[in-house]
Amino acid sequence: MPVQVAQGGHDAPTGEASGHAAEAGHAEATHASVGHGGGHAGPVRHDKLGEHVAEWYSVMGFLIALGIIVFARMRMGKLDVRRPSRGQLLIEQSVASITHFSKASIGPGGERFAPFVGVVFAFVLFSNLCGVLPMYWLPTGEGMAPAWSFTPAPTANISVTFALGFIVFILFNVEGIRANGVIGHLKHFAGPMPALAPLIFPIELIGALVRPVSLAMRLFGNVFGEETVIAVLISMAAVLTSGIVPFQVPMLAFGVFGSVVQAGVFAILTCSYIALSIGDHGDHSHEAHGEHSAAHAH
Amino acid sequence: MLYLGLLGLGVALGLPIAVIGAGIGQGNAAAAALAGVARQPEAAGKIQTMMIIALALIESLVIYALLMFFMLQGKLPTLTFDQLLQLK
Repeated sequence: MPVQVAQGGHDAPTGEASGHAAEAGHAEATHASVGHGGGHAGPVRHDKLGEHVAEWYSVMGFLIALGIIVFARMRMGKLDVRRPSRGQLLIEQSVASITHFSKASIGPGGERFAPFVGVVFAFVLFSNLCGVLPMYWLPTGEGMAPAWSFTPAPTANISVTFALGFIVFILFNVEGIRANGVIGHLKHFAGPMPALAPLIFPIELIGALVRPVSLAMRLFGNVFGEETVIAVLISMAAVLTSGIVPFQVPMLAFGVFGSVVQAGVFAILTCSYIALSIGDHGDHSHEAHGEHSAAHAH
Repeated sequence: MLYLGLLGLGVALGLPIAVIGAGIGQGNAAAAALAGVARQPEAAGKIQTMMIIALALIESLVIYALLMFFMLQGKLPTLTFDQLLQLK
C-alpha cells in the first residue's frame, strides 16, 4: 500500500478542528499503523477515533493466540466420551467440519492442512470479535468525544492481516513446490496451452501475487471499517444524547455476523488456494465433493 | 480550489459508484441462489454456503473502495469558515 503522510489531524487541539482531527485520524490508520502511533512525545493521544498505538495490536494478537492455546490445553484434560458437555460437542463439531472440508477440497492428503486452516479460522474469528467488545468514550471537553476501546481487534491493523496473508502465501507456494517440484509449480502459471504461455504467465503470476494482498485487504477493510463505524456511532450518541441512547447496537449485531463471515471466508480461501496450488487436475470433481461435504458437515 | 473541489467530489463519489456495481452483482448472486433453492429445496444448505462466499468476495471489492475513501479523506484539509471564504 502506498505510504503517504496525511495532513491535518495530529496537532489540532482547537474546538472545531478536533472533530476533523478525529475524522482525519482514521486515514492515519490505513497506512501509518506500524510506526506512526509510537512516535508520540508524551502520553498516548486519544484524539484519533478508535486508533491505538501500533504495539497494542501486536499485544492483542499475542494475547488472543495465547488465550486459544491455554484454553485448549486446559479443556483437553476434561474431555469425556460418555457424557460430553455442550462446549465439547461444539468444538468437536467444528474440528470435524474443518477436517471434512479440507479433505474434500484438497483431496486425499487434505487432513494435514486441517490444523492450519482451523487455527487461522479460530485466530481470525476471535480477533474480529474483539472489535465488537465495549468501547469507552473519553470526554475531551470540546468538540466530538472520541470513542476508544481497551481491546481493539488485532485484525483491524493492516500489518496483522498482511502477516496472515503472507503466511498463507508462503504455505501455498511451499506446498505447491513440494507436491509438483519447482518446474511443475511454475508450469501451473503457464495455462492450459503452451502456445499461450507468454500471454497467460504474467496474468497468472500477478493473480498469485495478489492473493495474499486481497486476503489481507478484505479482512482489514471489513474489520477496521466495522470498528470505525461503531466508534463514530458511539461518538454521535455521546454528542447528541450524551450517551443515553446507544446508536451502535445494530452495528454491534452486524459486527458479530460480519466477523464470523470474514473468518470463514479467510479460512475457505486459504483452503482453496492450497488446493489450487497442489493439484489442478482432479480439482473440478473435488470442488463438487467439497460443497457436498460442507453441506453435510453443517 | 479546483483541486480541493475535485478531491471532494472524488471522496464523495468514489465509494457509491463501487457500491452500485457491487449491489447489482450481489443481487444477481442472491437471485440465482434463491432460484436454486426454489428449484431444489434439499440443496438449501449447500447453496447457502456458496451464496455467502460469493457475497463476501463481491463485497471485498467495495471494501477496497472504502479503503481508498479513508486514504483520500485524510487529504481533505481542515478549514475554518474564514479560511473557506478566502479560497479562490
